[in-house]
Amino acid sequence: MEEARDHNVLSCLQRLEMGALGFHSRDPEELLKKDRLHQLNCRVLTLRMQRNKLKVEVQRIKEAKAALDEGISPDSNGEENGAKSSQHTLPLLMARRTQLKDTLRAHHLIGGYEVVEIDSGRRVCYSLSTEYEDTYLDTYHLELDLTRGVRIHRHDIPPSIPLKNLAQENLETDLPAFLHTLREHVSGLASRLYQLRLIKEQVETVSVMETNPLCSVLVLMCKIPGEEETAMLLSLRYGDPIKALPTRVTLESSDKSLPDEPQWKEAKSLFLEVPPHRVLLALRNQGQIL
Amino acid sequence: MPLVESTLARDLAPVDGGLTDTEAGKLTEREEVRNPSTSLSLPGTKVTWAERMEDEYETEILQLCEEIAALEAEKENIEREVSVQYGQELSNVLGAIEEDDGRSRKDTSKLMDDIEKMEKNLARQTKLNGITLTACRVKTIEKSKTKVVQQHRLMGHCCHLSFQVQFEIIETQVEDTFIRKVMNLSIVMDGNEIKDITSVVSRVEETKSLLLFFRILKSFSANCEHRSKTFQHFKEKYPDMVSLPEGCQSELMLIQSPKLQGCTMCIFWDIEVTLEGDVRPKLDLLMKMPEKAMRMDSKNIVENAPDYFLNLLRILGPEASIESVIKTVCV
Repeated sequence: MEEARDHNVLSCLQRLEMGALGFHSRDPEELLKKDRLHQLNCRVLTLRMQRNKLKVEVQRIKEAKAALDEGISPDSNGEENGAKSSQHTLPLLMARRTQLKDTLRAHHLIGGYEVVEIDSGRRVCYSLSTEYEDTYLDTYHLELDLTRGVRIHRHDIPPSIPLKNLAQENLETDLPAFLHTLREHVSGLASRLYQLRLIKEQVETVSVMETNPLCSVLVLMCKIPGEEETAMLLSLRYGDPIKALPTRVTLESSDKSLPDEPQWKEAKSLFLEVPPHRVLLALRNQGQIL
Repeated sequence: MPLVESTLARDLAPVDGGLTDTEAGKLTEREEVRNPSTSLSLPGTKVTWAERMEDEYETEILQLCEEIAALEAEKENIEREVSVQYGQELSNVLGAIEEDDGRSRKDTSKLMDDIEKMEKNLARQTKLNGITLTACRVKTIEKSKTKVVQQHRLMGHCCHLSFQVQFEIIETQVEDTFIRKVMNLSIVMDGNEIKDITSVVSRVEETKSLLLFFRILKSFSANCEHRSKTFQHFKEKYPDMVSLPEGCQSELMLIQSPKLQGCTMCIFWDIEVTLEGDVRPKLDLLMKMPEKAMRMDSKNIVENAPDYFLNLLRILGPEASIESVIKTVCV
């Protein structure tokens, strides 16, 4: 009976039809492949549309520029010129928007702030950029509610930064001063964290023994070359929360006389003036540490 | 397999209008119905065909992404050229649209709103930064899916100190991390005061610390402004006694009593800038006395005057300290 049903004409036709439509295989892997091809096809078509649209826009702005070069003013009154110039109004406005976008971005790059108005000016969001030398680091955000005075609505400032204290000092009275102080604090923290990262990446032989969330204490262990390998414990304390250089350096070693040696005294003073990862690299290159 | 290749060619042919996802789906289905042979080929061949299709698609996607990035960069650069060359015309366009009838306004209203918001934003940003940009030239040098290189040339001023800065910003994306770096930083500054910060400027150029430079510039220009206003104030308050031989922007102020001939006090108000970006005023008092007066000074007051002045500064600050020095000469 089973065999008879299997060789049924209808089921045979159904199998043929499914095969013709590409469904002859119910293999999930094959169906996935079909789906993937379909997705890729859609992506190609979308990108082509985007490309073609951009080509048209580039052509339009080129024409607008050519018209301006020929001396057709965008606000001219002549009928022909007027019709022609109205086509160029949009590209010119786009040029103005690009100009403003560039200037705003430049302000963000050089000033470290970005301001965005939210909820029809009822709230303002400030982005605070941080940097260390040539590298831009994390960006922190602070949203202020302006409906009843100035209040902090939400933020992603690290908890180790005393935001409440800073806000009490001058948030309501002098907003630019508050933002400046806050940015100095986040910049200091970001710089110290980045230095810690550079020590781990560039001077692998130095072990980081201890640090804290504010990165104001950094205890490092270096190995001193010699017949008997000696360890040197280096404690860096950052007394100023807005600075990226330590204010106090202490050296400890099992060999008590070692920290008093002239080269280590020099290294100690160097840590107060030069970023720690650079000092450690120099010490390693000179063979003072392993 | 010519049929498969023709399907592929048709699939990858340029589309002028572009299609929605559903239309694209229908198209693929129609082609499969129309060309059952593509589906009914041997299992081994079918896998190869699917893989080849996938490769073709992925290659084209990469090419399209590169092309789009290049076109975007070209468009931005032309727009920048237009805005630099025809700044005035752009203002006229904005004015003309304001007065225009509803129809053309409707076409451009979205852009106009954007521009209006951006201009408000720019005013707020300028006030917050304390830096005015008079010219901003940006050029996209390279743009791809993972890397953008832009060259910036900025001109502007902070208080009365003007600057020209040129740098490149390189933005790269490695997996999920986004890295932004400053390259080729060069700074040119104008003004008498810049001799105080030349060493710091060269250090900043070396380390490419763009944000640090502008932080120093703001703080330094604020200090210069304060010094200039203070000097100006004393010049106006005591015109007979106070003179500014090099103008109110310089660091030198002379106090001379009309009664005591040959007795001159010089106040040097320097602004020190450390390599870490600390800016602080440094005031010194120098006294010039005739020989006779020096011999009569048994308590070494003239000799110790600079130290007394420094003590005063610590307690009273610059303005009150200078005031008290002037008053001692007045008596």
